[in-house]
Amino acid sequence: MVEVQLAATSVAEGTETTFSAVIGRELPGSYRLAGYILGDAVEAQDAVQEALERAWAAWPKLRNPDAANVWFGRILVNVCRTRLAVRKRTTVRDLHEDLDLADHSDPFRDSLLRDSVGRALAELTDDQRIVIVLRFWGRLSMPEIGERLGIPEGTAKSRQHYALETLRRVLERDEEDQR
Amino acid sequence: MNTNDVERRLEALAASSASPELPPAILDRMAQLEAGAESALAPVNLDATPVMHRVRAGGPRSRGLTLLGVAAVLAIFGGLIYAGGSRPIRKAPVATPSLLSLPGPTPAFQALPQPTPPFSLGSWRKVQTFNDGWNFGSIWGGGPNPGVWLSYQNGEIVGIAERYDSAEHQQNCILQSKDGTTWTCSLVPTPSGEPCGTGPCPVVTGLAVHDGRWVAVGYSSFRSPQDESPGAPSPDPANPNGDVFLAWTSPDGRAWTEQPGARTVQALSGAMGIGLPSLPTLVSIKSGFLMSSCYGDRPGLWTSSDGVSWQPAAMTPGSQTISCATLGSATTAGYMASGRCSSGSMAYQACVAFSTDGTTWTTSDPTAAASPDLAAQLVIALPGGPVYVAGRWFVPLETIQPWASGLEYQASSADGLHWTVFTTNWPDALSTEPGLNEGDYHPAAFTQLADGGFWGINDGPRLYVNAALPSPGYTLVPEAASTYWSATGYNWQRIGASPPGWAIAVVETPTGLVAFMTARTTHDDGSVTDTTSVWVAAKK
Repeated sequence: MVEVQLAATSVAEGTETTFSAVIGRELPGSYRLAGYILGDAVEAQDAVQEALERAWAAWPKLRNPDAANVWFGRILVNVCRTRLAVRKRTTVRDLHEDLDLADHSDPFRDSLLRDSVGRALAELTDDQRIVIVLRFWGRLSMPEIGERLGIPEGTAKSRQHYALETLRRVLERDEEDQR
Repeated sequence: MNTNDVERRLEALAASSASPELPPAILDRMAQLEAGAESALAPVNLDATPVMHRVRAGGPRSRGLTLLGVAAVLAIFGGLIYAGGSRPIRKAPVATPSLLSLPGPTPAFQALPQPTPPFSLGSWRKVQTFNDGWNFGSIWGGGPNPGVWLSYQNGEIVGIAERYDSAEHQQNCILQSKDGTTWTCSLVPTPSGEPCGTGPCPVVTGLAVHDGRWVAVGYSSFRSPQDESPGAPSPDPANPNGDVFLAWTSPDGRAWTEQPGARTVQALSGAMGIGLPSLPTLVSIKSGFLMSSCYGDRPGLWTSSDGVSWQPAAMTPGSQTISCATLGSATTAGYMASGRCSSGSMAYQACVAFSTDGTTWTTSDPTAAASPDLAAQLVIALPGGPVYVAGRWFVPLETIQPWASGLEYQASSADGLHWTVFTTNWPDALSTEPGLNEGDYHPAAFTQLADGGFWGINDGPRLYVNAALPSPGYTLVPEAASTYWSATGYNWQRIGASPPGWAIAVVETPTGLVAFMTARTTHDDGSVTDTTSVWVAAKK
């Protein structure tokens, strides 16, 4: 682990709350969530760094550091959602195949690919996948997911419902194919 | 396989998934940002200077990222919020140098009215258990999927129910009961002539009775979800599942007929296709029926004399067209809805609409009652419906940036048209567990809005956390559930105990409360059986 000396930047006079102290503790969990939302360690790293930059730009106006975790989480999810959308609009060429790096190891992708339900996540819409990752990998409650995504709790529940139904159908289809 | 199995597999996979160490590059980036070195997106003080003038210029890469940063800043600070999971509502830009600060002067503090419960409640007793092999709703996500919606209309308890058997076949039925003990379940026919798509088929979201005519509304996915493969046309964000509006009519609530002529109505009742609503989407009015809809920028309020032919509700001159509407209180004082005004000068702005008869509506912007600076920061908290308490309408407001808000704002109006904005706080009426606050409690089932307020049954905090994964601070104790009453739907007063099990619906009748409760039995082989019972408690 690299030790980094971080500058102390007060949010408000009289507090010891710093960007690094408040946001820093969110980073490991954020990296993990981004990894499973995007299914790619390199993209997850980029996404967290982009979220960091956006958060840093807005940090001076953060009035309620107690809500910073939700705030940063929302920024991160928005960054991931944008990346997922861009990925769909872009013709992706598998460089791993071209460069004979098919055995390149990615901890997030490998974790997902080793189980059929993890592979089935690819069948979900972006919003459904995000809800599932926040729920099961982030262990957030539905109200917390709604808060994190800026959507009503009912909408979060709806997305989860449709996601689970889709996963069930995909898994049943796969099982049928194997017979 | 059912969705519970899928959940278990996801839980197992997540628990065994890798948690890679944070790459040092991320920490390096944070250090660089704090040190101010080569920051692509340096902190920008927008208090006194327009955004573009304060962003530092740099080399080509820096400029590109800076523009991205400006876009990001504008996106974060520019007033983007989401309502009903739909497109963002953009607050109209206001030429103010203090866009990012909490502007003054702060409105005066005003306490919210706290009416006392209208009656006390007797003990709960079980009067019915449904054991015909069909369950009302299901339990998933550690809590109930509330597949039942109940209301008291036409002198009896009526409701909408989704029922499932052990093979997860689905039935939609209209419930009727005079006393809570004897029930009929009349099937809502599947739409004819169209194959069901991959979504629920159909979903019934509203039920109302007017002058002896019963009407139910809902939707169904006849078309497959939009193709989201690379290069495919962008899906319609207002209707990504290709849902089609449906209406059924009945002379008695028992024999139902789907009306194909209604399928062309450009409306989607229910809040973004969530299914059974927590707020009414269809109500009986003097001229027939009133329905709320959330379908992109299409009208959000519709009226009909027969439930088959629907027209966008009439708006008074000068009013905007309200879209993605949520009906609030339907009281003797009139009707109120919140949504967004999607045309004219208030484009995409959250707004409310008021009508004395449900037919002709007038829109207004409650936040406009604040000072211009503050009004630029406030939006109506959607999709919660306005409430009517102690002779006034109340609309909760929130600030565009959550971190800028240390205050709670409300707008209130005596006539539904002219508003005052004030700061307030919700009275601490709910005794919470250590480490939790009122926001952690979510009524599992509660009554339809009415003059008398709400009744709710709470399953305990953290309702939707899966019981199979207990963790510190997350408790699921249906046995400790309580019965609550609220005048506003926001803060709740405990009235007494609740029936055992998971609450999936509750309704107030002239003589008491009636609740649907589901209990789960886990068998030795791991299979589960859910059983729904009806419980009643008399008014005292």
